[in-house]
Amino acid sequence: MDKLDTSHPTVRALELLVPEVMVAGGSYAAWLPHPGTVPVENRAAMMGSARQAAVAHCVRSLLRSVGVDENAIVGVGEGGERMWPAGFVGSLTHKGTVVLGVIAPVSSAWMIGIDIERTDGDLAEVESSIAAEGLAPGMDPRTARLLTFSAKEAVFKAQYPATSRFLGFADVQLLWEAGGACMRAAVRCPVQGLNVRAAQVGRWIVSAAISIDHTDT
Amino acid sequence: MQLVTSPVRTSRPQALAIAADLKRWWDEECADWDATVAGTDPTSIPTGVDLWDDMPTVDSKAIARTSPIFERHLGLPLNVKFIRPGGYTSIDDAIADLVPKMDAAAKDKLGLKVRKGGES
Repeated sequence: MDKLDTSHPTVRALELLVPEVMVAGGSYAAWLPHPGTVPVENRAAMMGSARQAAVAHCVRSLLRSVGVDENAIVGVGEGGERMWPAGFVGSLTHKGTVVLGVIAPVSSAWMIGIDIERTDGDLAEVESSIAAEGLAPGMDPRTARLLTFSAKEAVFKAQYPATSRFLGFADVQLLWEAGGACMRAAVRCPVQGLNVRAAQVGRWIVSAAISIDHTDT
Repeated sequence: MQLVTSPVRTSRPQALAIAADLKRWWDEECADWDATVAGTDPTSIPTGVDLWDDMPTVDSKAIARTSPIFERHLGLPLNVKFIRPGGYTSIDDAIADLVPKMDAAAKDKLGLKVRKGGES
């Protein structure tokens, strides 16, 4: 398998959202044949195998970007969180043929979580569960629901390493700011100091939850 | 009604009914994608990027959309804290994990209502 396609628009979108951290990732679509040439019963396994390799590739890129040996072990904790090298925080996300990752020394960001979603599938039936506080203004409701879902997923991932606590959608309220190419929201949740930044690029929504201010702990 | 053999830990009819509805829902999710792939000429779109990107996966967003199924059977929406971090390998994997948890949550809620004299 070759390199990830770092020209995928979600990579640049994430770099613009969180300039405080190092970003890696891209698309591994070129690693896969057309799905019509793959037997139905083999498609999920093929996609899973490619995704696993892409995630490993992304992790190595992240480690190199901060001067850590790319072969360092980044295990998975009991809560599904990645165990980054001491002194660093990071986060990974993947959807479709795209994998994205971020890493930063704790001096730059002490909590970070990212999420990527496709703008397919409607969450209308669960809106009251995922967005009890209301949706972001100025957006069509379908996109706004996905935005809320993605942003809260990023919050869940950002806070878990610090709290070891699973949150539900009702535990997090997003207070969206109006306007701007980058959508921003203040976060109300059991952990202080997080804020959300998100962007839609084509059929993708990329979200990040980040805390860069240690005085809010 | 066709019984669906799912790896749930309880044999209660309600759990089986939930599993059957979840399986049916997932089959419908996948059917559209399979049909799209089958209708596409591989030679015209060599890598089928958009197709792979649209492939249904049993991730947290997909599972969140099953909440109405649990609510219909158990009177409880899906507790998203039950969703395994990282998602599931298959719909059967998700059923095996979530149905017992939600079944227990529904029992707890019923027990609480009984202890409170039936107050909701």
